[in-house]
Amino acid sequence: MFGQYLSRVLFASVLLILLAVMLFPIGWMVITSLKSNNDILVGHLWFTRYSNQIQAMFMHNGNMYMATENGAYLRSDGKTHAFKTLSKGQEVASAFFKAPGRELIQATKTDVRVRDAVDGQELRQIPVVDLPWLWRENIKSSCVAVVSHRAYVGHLVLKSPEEEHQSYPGQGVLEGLQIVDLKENRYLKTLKQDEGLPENNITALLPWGADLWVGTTRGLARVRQDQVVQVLGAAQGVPGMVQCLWSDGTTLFVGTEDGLVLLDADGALIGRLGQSQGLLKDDVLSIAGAGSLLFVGGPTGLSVYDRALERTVHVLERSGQQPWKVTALSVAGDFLWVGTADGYVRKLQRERYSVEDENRAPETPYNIRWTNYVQLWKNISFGTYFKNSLIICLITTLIAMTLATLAAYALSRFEFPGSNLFSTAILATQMIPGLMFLIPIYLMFVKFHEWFGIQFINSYKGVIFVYSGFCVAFLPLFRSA
Amino acid sequence: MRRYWVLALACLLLASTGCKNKNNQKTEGPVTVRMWIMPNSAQPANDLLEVLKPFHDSHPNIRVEVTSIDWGSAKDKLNSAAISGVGPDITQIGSTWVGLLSATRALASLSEKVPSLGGPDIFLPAAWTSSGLEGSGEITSIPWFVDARVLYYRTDVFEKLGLTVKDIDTWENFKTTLDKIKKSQLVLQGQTVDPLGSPGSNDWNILHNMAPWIWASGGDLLNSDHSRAVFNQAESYQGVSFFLGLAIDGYIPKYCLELNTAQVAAKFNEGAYAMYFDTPAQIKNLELPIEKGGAAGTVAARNYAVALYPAGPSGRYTFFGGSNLAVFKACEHPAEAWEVIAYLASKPAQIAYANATGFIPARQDAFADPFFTEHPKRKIFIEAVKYGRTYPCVSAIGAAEPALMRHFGNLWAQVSGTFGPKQRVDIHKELDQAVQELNIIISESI
Amino acid sequence: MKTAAPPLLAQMRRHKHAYAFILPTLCAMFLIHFVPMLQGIYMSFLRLNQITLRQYLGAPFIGLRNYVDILFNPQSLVRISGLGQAAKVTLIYAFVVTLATIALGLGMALLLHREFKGRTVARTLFFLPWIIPQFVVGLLWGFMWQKNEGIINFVLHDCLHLLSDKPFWLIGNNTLWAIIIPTVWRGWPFAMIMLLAGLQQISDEYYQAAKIDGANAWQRFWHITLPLLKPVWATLLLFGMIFNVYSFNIVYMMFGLGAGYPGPWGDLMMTNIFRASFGAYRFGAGAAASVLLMLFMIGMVLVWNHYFKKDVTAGNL
Repeated sequence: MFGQYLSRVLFASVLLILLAVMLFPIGWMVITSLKSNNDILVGHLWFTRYSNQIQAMFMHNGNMYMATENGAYLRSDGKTHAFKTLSKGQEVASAFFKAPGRELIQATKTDVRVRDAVDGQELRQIPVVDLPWLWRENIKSSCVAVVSHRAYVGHLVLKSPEEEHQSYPGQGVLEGLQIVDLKENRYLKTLKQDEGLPENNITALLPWGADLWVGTTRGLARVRQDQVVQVLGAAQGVPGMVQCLWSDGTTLFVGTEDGLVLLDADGALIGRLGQSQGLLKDDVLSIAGAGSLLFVGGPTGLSVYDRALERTVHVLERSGQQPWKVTALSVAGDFLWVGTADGYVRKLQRERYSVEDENRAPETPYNIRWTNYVQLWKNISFGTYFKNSLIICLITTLIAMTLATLAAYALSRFEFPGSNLFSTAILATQMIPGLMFLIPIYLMFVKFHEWFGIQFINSYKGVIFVYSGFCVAFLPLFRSA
Repeated sequence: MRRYWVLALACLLLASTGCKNKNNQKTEGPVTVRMWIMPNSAQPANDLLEVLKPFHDSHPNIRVEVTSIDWGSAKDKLNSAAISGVGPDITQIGSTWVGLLSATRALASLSEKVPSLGGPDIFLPAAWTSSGLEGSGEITSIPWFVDARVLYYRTDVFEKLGLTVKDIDTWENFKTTLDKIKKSQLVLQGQTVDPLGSPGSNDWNILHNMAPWIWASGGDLLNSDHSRAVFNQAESYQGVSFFLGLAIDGYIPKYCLELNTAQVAAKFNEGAYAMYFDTPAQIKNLELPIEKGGAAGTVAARNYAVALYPAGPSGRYTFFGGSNLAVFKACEHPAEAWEVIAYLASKPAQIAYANATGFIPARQDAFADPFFTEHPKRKIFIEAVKYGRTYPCVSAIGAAEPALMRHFGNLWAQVSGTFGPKQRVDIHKELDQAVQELNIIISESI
Repeated sequence: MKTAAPPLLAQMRRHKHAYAFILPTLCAMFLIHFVPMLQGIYMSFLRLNQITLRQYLGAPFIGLRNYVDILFNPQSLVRISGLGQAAKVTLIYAFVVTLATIALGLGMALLLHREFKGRTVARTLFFLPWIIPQFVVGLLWGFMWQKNEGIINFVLHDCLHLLSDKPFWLIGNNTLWAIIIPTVWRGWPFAMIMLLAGLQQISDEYYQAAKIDGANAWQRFWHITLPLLKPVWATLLLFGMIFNVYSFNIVYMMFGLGAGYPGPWGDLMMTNIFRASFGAYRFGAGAAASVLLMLFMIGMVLVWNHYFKKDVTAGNL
């Protein structure tokens, strides 16, 4: 009894070990198929992680709402250091905005969510676009603003060059400025490039009075009552991509790759701040202000500019191994909150710029590229190939089976002169190296075209013909059946 | 007996449908020019069609049908087309294949058409060398784009060690610099930086990677009248042993020798090497966001610069690859095909396609364009193209490429030290064997 | 019947239905196999290179030159480009792969032949490697064999500590293993399925009788299972040999995606001939090498016929 049990266990474990060893390469193939191209080429054994760059921060009554590419989190200050996860996963490239009243508006990749500003409780969802989750990887960041009960949502959508020309789910809604009615809880429409926006990729939004300033990857636009009324590009002093927007009520600050541009309420250029004014870098990623002080986040750290003294009064630089790429800034009371690209949120004392507290955004998911499979169908038209294979395979099987059954029947039923020769010939076909076929068959097809007008090159007919011929080899299998 | 009739009927049906198709094709309409290209960019056919858009607008009577064929199978397909006379009207061919394909006499002569473009002088001289079989006086292909190899290096590494471009200007300096980087055992962004990355034997570019070192030391593959192989002479030996020495001395890490160029490039981008040699397309790649399949934002993309190949004892050379456009003799619409080629050789199309692929134009005047003069990195090619050199355009070189790749691959394999303890790197022996083989190939190719 | 055979013509007339049945197959074979083969054989007598390529079969006829070069002239191009070494490696490769495939397939078939829960599932899972295309196998294992970043060295060196150092698999002497192992891995499930089918045909009575006679498990395997499975493994042996001598895809993909030369221990006949024909444009020499390989294979088949033909036709195949 015990021996039998033992042998069973032994058998099962041997089987499992063998299964693991034999299927390991297949498992590895599946893993490889989900890796990013770069991970494969560099040879990372495992998936690398997504960035958990802090994309947006929002302070409310001591609560801090924070969004990364992979989730939205809430930190109730003074109570706990841990983040409470509001939503996570690929659906979120969140941004927050405080609406009138107790409401907090969160924009995600597919919808607009209204939350309770005090505890982060989700009150309702307003669906905007029906985007399959595989396609959400394309949205890198989002921004949201509210003007008179309307929420405006913009995304920065990065598509691979292959996808650039193709239609995809969500097209028509995803790109451009999405407008959502918060009273009626419904998506209204999307304002796009052909209606005056300088670009469909939206990077920053700022409401100012009744207007909405829209920062895009190619300049700035002013939107009033859902109409584009003004566009500011390189000619108006706003070079290239707008990366952040902020206003103190009298001046509009536009952070670009090439310095901080100051505009007045009419969009007229007032001035420009950059490296020559003492900022760390010209590249301005985030901006916040308090009084006459201006906090400017760049790729290597934070600069503090005093507008009254007209000079940079302090810089906090952390370059090298883990640079402080300041992507989000927020001022609350005596503290300055600094969010960086490596996923840290640091609480700085504003007088001394000392780090009071630092927190890391929860670990982010691995860079598992499901889109590899989407791209398979999209770019290299895998669907067409699959269809071709299916058609060719079906017809070939049909023809080859008919031929083989006929011949196999003849061979097993009758013993006719030459039957031995015939079966030896079938075996002999297997001896011919495949390389010998290439040119002769191609030439034969060319002749067929000349003689009979049958187009065998570049057509199903040719492939089916060749494959059916090759399948003769399976005749012995039929004979046994 | 009935079965015969069924079969015969089926055959007839098949034949008649074939005929019908053929008749249908003869309806009046724009002339279709079929063109084969290799995957030069991420979306080969679409990118070229985008470049051809102005052409299609101005020539409503011509429609270019672009098919992208894989580099690996391109030679077979071109051969089949050459033998049978059935193939595309225009085809892209690698500049090193021109000799081979011209020797088959499958390509139409373009000699008479060249003056209408503005003569051979509008192209880079080194690119023009590959326009037709040397000695035949016939032009069989027009240079389309050029792939000039340059040295990519990490500015942060150089800054840290107090190095400048001057320190990689000559062979001696280059080696000293490599030594400095190796000894410093630099760790940047959490990664040890090896001095130089380079693929070894499992790569398509074995020969192209080796050639500049042979030239720079005064050597050459063939003698001046291309009748004999000469790269076993002292100069070439010096070049080959210098390059291999970089791996033997450990400047090129050993594991590198089994990688291919794409893998080395990806590792460079991640910060594994201080320097490596690659094609101009890498600049485009380093500017393209990661999400679009590029490498912008990687360690290398934030801190890189481009330099020329270091100058050897007898000068500075950079390998000139690239592709040409040719017309098959069996082409049905030679006039229309030529118009397409003439358009693709024009300056705007050259720059537009260079922009799409990352390679550089074959036209001289394109380098005066802001595309080059205004670009901080791409500027280097204005100078680099002056040092461009390619293999002589004779049929023997094309036929010898596999042999040369085998012998140089063998050398890399010996350097990797994987043939057991007895194996030594014997450059002389391997070069002698290669020369012997090449000489037979030359004698058989006449 | 044989003693008093009617005249040939009459016999043929009597079997005209049989001829009608094989006619379509014969046509297909003629067009797809024999016409190209004849062209190939004729090509091997020509000096067909880049210069004469366009003339194709009109290229200069040089008789047996190509054959003489391959067989007797060690200084000829084909020889110095490593055809001899490739032939040696191919022979080792084909033998090892074929035998290992059958052995592994037989072992697994015996393991999976017994009754247990989930047997069908296990069989299906074990069959999976066979459905992966050879190109993909070459590509996949090419990544897995990498020295520094490959998963195999990681498992052998870092996890199991079996190797003191991470070896090269894709350069040098190890390349032989690097091509044998993936081929066996991909090939054995087919052998297993065929042998399993064969095992199921063996009546249990034999084993019962042997048990009564006091034969132990090994004896039963050696004297019952193996002989009765002979038709199956003999067929596998034949087709395995043919298949593996003509192996190309895995090697082609594994070393730099068809780039260069897989090294003296990775280069097989087919990759060598491919380089000679399509890389160096020596089509005549390539065809001659193919024909020689074909003759060698026919010889092997005749040997096989001598030893196994009877068993195979007498058996179920």
